[in-house]
Amino acid sequence: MKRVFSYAALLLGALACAAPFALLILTSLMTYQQTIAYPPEWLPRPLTLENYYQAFTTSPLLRYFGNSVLVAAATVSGQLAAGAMAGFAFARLRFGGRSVLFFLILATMMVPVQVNLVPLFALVARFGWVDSYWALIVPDLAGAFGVFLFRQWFLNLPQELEDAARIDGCNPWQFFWRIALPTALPAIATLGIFQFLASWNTFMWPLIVTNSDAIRTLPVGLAAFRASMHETTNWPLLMAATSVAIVPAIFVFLALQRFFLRGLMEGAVKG
Amino acid sequence: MRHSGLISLLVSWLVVALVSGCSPEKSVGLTFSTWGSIDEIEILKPILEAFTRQSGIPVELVHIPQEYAHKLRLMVAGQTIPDVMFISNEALPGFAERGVFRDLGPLIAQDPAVRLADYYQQVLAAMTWKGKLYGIPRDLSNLVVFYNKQIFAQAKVPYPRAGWTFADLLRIAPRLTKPGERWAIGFQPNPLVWTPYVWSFGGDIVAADLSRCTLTEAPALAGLRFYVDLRNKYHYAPSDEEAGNARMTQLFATGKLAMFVYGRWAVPNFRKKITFPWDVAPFPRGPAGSIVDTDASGWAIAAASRRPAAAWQLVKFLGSRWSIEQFTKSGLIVPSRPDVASSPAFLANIPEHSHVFLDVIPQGRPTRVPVAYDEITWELIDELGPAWTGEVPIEEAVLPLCKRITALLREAS
Repeated sequence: MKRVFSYAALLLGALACAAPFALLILTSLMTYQQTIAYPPEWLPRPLTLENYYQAFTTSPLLRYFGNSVLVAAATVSGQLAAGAMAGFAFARLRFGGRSVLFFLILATMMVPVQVNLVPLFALVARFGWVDSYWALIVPDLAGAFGVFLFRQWFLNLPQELEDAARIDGCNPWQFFWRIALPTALPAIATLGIFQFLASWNTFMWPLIVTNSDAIRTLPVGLAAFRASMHETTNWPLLMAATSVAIVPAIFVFLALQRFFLRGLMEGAVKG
Repeated sequence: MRHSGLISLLVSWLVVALVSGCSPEKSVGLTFSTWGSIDEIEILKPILEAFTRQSGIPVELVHIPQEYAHKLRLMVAGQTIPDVMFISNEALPGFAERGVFRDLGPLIAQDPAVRLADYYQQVLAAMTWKGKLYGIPRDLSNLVVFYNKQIFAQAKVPYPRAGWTFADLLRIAPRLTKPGERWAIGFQPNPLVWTPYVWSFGGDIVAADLSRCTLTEAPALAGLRFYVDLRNKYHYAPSDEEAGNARMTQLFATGKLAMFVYGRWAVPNFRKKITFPWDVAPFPRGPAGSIVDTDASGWAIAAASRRPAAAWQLVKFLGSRWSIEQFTKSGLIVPSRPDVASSPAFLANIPEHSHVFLDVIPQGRPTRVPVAYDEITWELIDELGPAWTGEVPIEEAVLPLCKRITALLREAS
């Protein structure tokens, strides 16, 4: 009996999660007439792929897609490299001002993005980076969250491991590269997914620093499918373009999921 | 080691990303910012190409699909403002007050090719702030009543005509309404749509000198009361529950509304998507007349532009008869120029009585746009919500609202 309840609850939860995706896909296969029908209709009748054709022909969707992939790959790489090295230094190396420095880095997490927007834009504009990949990538190459995540991870490495490595002649870099980093795969996957999704979905910053289609990422490109002012949005077209846009996010999440879940549980039990 | 492979892959990505990211081509042409859906950009592109062919000046189009004013403000702060900007009369004062735009008066005075008489005087007024003209107008934006001819025919009610009144509206509405199924008229909380009720009863939202809120005065309250009664007392307009998530454009397009108050921008979609016969009529007359807004948008030049002469050439080209005709043909706009408005570019095609958009211009009134326009609009939408649903009488809801609006007006001045 108890089991029936928990299955029912889980099923309900699963439905709640899946429903928006189902609606997204269904709407993308409808004609515009069907989407404005009242009372609303749920199943595409007739089924049409026209919206997908339109999405690719009325806008440089592939270019946006490529830009999104490039920016995501670059910022994920940067976040991982900077986070792992800085996190390792804060966890395993002794140096003056370590705590103060770490606190300062953490403090940057308390500043809301909106506060940074204007000064950051002014800075990027002064560098002449507006409407270039530099503006999309460089400000996101390192972040406090990654440093924090890796520091916590490396703090948990047993001291014996480091001692053993030292005795075998490892310098700190070799210990980091050969011993510590390979154990940090779950942290790498976790930060990788977070940063990938953040980069894939971010809207305001790319909207502000890009001017031309050649540099724009998917979320900004998709915004053009939404009508401006008081016009009526072509929902099925927007949904078709959005369906294309979410595929990589789902793919990356599924591919890294097993590390990700392990990462959340790791350290739950102290050995 | 297996992991070093992964790391070197990541590092090589980074290197590729950074190297390929460098040196964007800096064009020597003009930069030009605009909002608009993809359909609108498709109209604009050939016009810009024609300009480049004719003048030899390349134009870099900065399409800002959302958050237009927000991004423009940041571009001002970052000193990367476009040479030419598309701007609406609602956003114009906020920028003009800060000296962002170039005063076009001297340029026009020296240039015999541009005659202000070619444009509706009302749209020029809407592009003017404190006596200076800052934009060459593209369109005039006002409101009319869209109506479903089929519903009128079925209910054996004659179509609304110029000179019809609020009393006429109340008289025909019961015959056009089928409770829970079909409604005589739309209801929108958007201030743009209910302002004509307030004006036509002789009231206003703010005083002409922009010094204080006037919604608490008797004529304004009479207009608001009439509007809210259409929905909550008579049920001639759908409630939020009845409308569901559908917008009034959707309800109208699916035959659930006999009439609704809206603007020209709905026409391209209605032409494509509505299957029943429909037309437009003027807004009904109240005690003070039939008064709708006269908003506008047009092209402005940045005061900081390094190529003001080229920018002026572009703005002139965009405002030319040929260019305005291209925008007009799509059905999206009421043209800023009477010569285009009286041509087939505007009048051919449905709706049959497109000239209604022009007939109402003389009695039209530009929306009063104080510097704090955005904040005031948000207040109007937020604070009147409970009055629109009938939770709070409108006469009570306007009291705190009006105090806040007056405070915002004082702060800005």
